[in-house]
Amino acid sequence: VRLRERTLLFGDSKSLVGVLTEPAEGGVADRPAVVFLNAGILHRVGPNRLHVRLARVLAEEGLASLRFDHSGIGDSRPRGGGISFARAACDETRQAMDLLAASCGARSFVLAGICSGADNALRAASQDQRVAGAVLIEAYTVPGRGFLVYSYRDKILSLRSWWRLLRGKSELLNEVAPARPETRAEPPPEEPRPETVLPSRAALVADVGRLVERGVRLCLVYAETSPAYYNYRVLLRRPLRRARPGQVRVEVLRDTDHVFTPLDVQERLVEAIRQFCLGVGEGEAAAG
Amino acid sequence: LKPFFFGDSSRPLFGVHHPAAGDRGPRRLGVVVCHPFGQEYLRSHRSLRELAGRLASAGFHVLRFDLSCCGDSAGEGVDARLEQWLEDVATAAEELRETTRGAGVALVGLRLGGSLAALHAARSRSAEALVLWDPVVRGDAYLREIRASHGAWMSEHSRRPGTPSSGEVLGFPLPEELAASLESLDLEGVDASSAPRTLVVSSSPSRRGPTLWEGAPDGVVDRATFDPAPVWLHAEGMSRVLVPGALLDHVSRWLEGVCA
Repeated sequence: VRLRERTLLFGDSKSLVGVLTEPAEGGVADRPAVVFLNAGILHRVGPNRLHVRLARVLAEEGLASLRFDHSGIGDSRPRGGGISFARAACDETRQAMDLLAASCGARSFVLAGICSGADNALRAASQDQRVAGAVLIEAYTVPGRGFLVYSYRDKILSLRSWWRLLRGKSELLNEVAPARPETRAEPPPEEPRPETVLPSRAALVADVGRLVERGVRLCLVYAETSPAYYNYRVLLRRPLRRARPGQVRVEVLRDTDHVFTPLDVQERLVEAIRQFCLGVGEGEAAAG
Repeated sequence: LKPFFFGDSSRPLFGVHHPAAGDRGPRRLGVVVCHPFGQEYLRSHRSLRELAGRLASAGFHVLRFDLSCCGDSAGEGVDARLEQWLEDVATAAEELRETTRGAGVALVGLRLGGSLAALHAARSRSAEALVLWDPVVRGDAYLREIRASHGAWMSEHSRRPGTPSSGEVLGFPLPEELAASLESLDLEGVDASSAPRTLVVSSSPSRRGPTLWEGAPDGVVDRATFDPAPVWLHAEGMSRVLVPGALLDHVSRWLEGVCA
């Protein structure tokens, strides 16, 4: 056994549930630690259990990670107090980093998320100087005109199902997570309503631009036929032009859907993220 | 609730203990909740967490756990085996007995989790009650069903249509040995009196579940049918799915009745 895992309860009311994965031999204090954020309402194991697979692969490479459930998702208790999900997700991600700093001495972090998890990773990264890298997978499926006509066309209905689930907009969430007023107050989500969850395009471009300026390493992963990839091409290429060589890695995976159902595609995804996270570690070591 | 790892430390199982709460507990039975496999596990996680919470509020100690090679438990999907899963159920039941200092054990399982609960009950003769929610009655039919779903999903979302023998279903490995074990799974061949009391509950009148064990002696097998969207179904049902509150409440009341 080359890794060890333990459960943790953390956050203001010690009600956020997380699993910490570490190399068995320890020694992770000088390496960045990775935080996996929920993809929509799927619990912390991630779509197709990808977060678990990634956590264990990274531990074998000497990196610690935490996968956890935001309040109201998975095993974590719903929060009270009427804080927006976007705000709570940032606060809780910061608390997850605090926990990793306290429990294994980590000083820098990689935030990783799929779909809405990537949205939250970007938002949290832009607010915390400790973030040295971000893995943004299928991020920002901003449903503008291009989104609707691009690629999927007749598949948009089932895509929308996925979109709702991973954006945390399923009726399931409304039913069982009453402490989430911003989604509960919405009418049934017949159409994507990006303004409730997503930033404006300008804010998105500005966030990415700030991270580039700060020297944060970015790994952007897309399914080739995904509307998220379309958005990357029309929105993000410009702010990414200012990145220094090697700062941004873009992976475009063929023959897959939004959640990487084919196992061989999952392997390519895992390998890309493994390489990226190791690169962030090397960058940190060189800087330190 | 308390998340923790338990069992063999070289391949620990992830579990969540929902302690008995309220003034009606703890009851004389604790409840082990068995999750289903693959996409059904992901889809139904919220409903089973909600069920565990309701049971705990009704005074039951509950242990909800992930099978080996699934969820947060140790092991990779390619190593999943039915026989190991049966050992996992036994380990979880033993863990709950220790936690509750010797209370009896009821098993609740959804889909393949229900089948595992029934097989464990038949083998151990130690379960005092069984709740089988849309159990997989015939493994061969289940395999056909999930492979067909995989093929349909792949042809819709990927340029490479899936093939039934590809060793994967809807994002999860389906190792050959597991598939072979599932192929021969048939709950009809299992003794309907494996536990003193059993509830077979179905999400939909058209599911096979309620026809299980029709020849059982009077008073052993109760049945209930609800008509919510099955929480474990893939694709189109996903965005409309609700936690089936009436079904969960029925399970809780039935178990309270067993304890009465």
